[in-house]
Amino acid sequence: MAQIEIKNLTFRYPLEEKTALKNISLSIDEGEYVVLCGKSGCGKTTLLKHLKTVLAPKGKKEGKVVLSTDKIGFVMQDPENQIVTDKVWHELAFGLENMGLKSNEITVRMAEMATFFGIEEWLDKNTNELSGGQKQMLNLASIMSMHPEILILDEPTSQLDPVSAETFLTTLDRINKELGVTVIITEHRLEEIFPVADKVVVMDDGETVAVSSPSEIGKVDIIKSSLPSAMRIYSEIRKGDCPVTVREGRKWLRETLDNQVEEIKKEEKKKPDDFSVEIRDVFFRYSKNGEDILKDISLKIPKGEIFAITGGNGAGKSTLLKIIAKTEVPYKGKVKIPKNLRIAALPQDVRLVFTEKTVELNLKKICSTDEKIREIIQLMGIENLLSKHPYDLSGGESQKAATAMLLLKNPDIMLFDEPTKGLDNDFKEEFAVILRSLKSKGKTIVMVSHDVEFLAKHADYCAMVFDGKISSYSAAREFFLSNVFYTTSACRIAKGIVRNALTCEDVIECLKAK
Amino acid sequence: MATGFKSYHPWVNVMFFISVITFGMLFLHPVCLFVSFFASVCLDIRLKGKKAVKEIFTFILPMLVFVTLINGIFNHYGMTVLYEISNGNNITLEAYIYGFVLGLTVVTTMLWFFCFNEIVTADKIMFVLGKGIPKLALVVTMALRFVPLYRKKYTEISQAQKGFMQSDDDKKILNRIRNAVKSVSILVTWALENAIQTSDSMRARSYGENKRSFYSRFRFTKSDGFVLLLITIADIVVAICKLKDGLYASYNPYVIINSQKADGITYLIKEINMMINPLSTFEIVTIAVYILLCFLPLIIDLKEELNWRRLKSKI
Repeated sequence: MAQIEIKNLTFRYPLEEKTALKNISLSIDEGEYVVLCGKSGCGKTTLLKHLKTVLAPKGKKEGKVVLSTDKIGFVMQDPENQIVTDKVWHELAFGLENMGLKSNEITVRMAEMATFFGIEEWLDKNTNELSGGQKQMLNLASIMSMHPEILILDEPTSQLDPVSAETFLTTLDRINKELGVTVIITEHRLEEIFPVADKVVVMDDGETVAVSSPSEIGKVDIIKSSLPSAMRIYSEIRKGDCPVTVREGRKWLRETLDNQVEEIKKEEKKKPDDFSVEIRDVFFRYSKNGEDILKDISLKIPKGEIFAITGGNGAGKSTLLKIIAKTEVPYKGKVKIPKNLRIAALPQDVRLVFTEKTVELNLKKICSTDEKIREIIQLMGIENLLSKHPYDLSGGESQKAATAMLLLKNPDIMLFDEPTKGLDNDFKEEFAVILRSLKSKGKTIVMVSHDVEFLAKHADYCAMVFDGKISSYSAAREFFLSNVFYTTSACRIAKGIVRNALTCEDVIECLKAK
Repeated sequence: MATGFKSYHPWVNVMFFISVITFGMLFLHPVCLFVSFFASVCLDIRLKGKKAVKEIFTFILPMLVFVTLINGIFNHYGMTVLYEISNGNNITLEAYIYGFVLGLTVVTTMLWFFCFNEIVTADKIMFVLGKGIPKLALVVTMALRFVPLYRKKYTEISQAQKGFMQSDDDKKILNRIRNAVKSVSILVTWALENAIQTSDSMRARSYGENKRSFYSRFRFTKSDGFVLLLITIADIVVAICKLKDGLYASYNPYVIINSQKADGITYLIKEINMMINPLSTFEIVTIAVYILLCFLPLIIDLKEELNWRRLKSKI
């Protein structure tokens, strides 16, 4: 018998007319690595919560969920909120204390977990000293210490930067392969997990649309936009076997092109000549005796373009944005913004700008003319969110609502901090459309982002911050084409095969032309 | 890593401090007072080094002088009049002596608490609390996480608001208060919202399903047992002495040190109305035990240090 057997599960939340889950049947065997994907709000999280009895939502439920074990671990999205105690060692012991284990038993398990996850050095630290990636790793470790047989993860890496996300997923793969723990995960980063997954379940509007192996799933149209690059390119051509990884993608591309080298021509972006913000020789540190976060940064931000600041963790990207937004003041150097240009910034956690009870009230707080509000609401397509509490919105929805507020303020320079964090690809595309329309109105857009794929597609200029300095600055296309590691997967697949190809669309275009 | 007395089990540490602080307040006998005072001074210096010396000279000793003088000026009991003030009150020797005794008790207690702070760290307190009231201990650890978390979030919120609104109304106090209130209100909403997730995470890790056990990283070793036994024996000896009215001292209306005994020599100093009775054998034993008790952490530290030196010299 399968470890998890879901039979005709139908579920509806109280006071809602729409059924959240429709007639779902699914069986999962022991040790399988299952990826659940689909658009935001398609019922993934609801389905996952049904597998963990204590978290199962209340509502009208039909059908059955049969589990052969009750040892189930559940990792949630937000790294911060899952932590309960103040010390790392105590967090690891928390679940074990709840199980009523004796101290010496707990010590044994804790030692095991700390070694497996390589977190011995943190044991004595306070939990709030850890970075987001470390916190999520701690959450995973403290759940693994309870020896679950099934591990359920609800978008565990959506709040993490790419490097921490990679580390997290690698560890997860080890747990699955070395310990034989069943893994059920929902993710937007299919690029990293498709190569290791056994089974992919695609959901749409509360139904399972497809269940199959990763290489077969390319045929399902619904998730086309979030497929790994190699698969996305393949799905347009459909020739030979479906590649999943970058390596397989390169091999497939060479075969498809009969070992010929192609080149695509795109017009080059001119050097900008009109600037809005000018930063000159800026030095910044948070405390008097602290280290310099920004060291001698000089930067000119082009007017009326989408400008992106990228860089590794703790390189000073967000700090730089704060300095432009004038919420922090450099101790040396100058930030020059022409007097007639107004500026406004959206924080990384956009929920922090909502002060009122509903989305509509929040909009009204900023601008009192109904006409303008109506116009913006229509532009953003948020009619259905107006009466909701801002904290009830999903990640993408709150990003939209906050952007609507920003548009009402109508500044000339708009700053975004990681605007695509935690969004699925459809939302990202919608957001990109909004950015474009803002650009066409002559607004300057500055964003800090890790999201290479998004920037490669939609940014005009990119600057990389490294070690508190600007290490490179050029038009986004050239920027990512010249990089080897810090670039899109499509570029890595096409490097040396299709010259000048940066996005999947570039490669597809070239292949279709053939 | 903690060494010496600091590395001992929380029970041993706590038991020691309960003993010395209680006895320090109960015994007004000059010998006991001085023993406890010097022991606490030595331990404080041993733990904090130069900082302790500075503290003693700038705070502890002035405090002692202050209490002595204040008591002498405002209390007028006692037989030995030093001089009379114009309103008819007497300034007496007993008031000064008692003031000094009182001051010594106060500063000794303070010094012991200083040492307590150094030795009984937060996680030791959590351990003791957890053994007694596990639920409260959990609430405290959760609160300890919340304090820095909320502080950080508050800064984040006010910066987000500032970056978004971009208004220059910060100069007026009223506006600044209004902004702060707004930030706090956002913080509260945020905290409540996130608390739901934390509670989900707790339930997902079987919180509330079984009886919780209490995990601590402290192990009770043989030497912990030995030292705890020493402290207990010392406590019993000293307590018996106290119950039998041993090591008696009275400062009003005149100074009497030790209770009257059938044999031995009693000193009477007529000029200052002081009576010093002889010590009984049990009292002498008690003083020895008391010295041992008060200096126990220092003895342990010293022993460990000598041990190290010996081991090193062997290599």
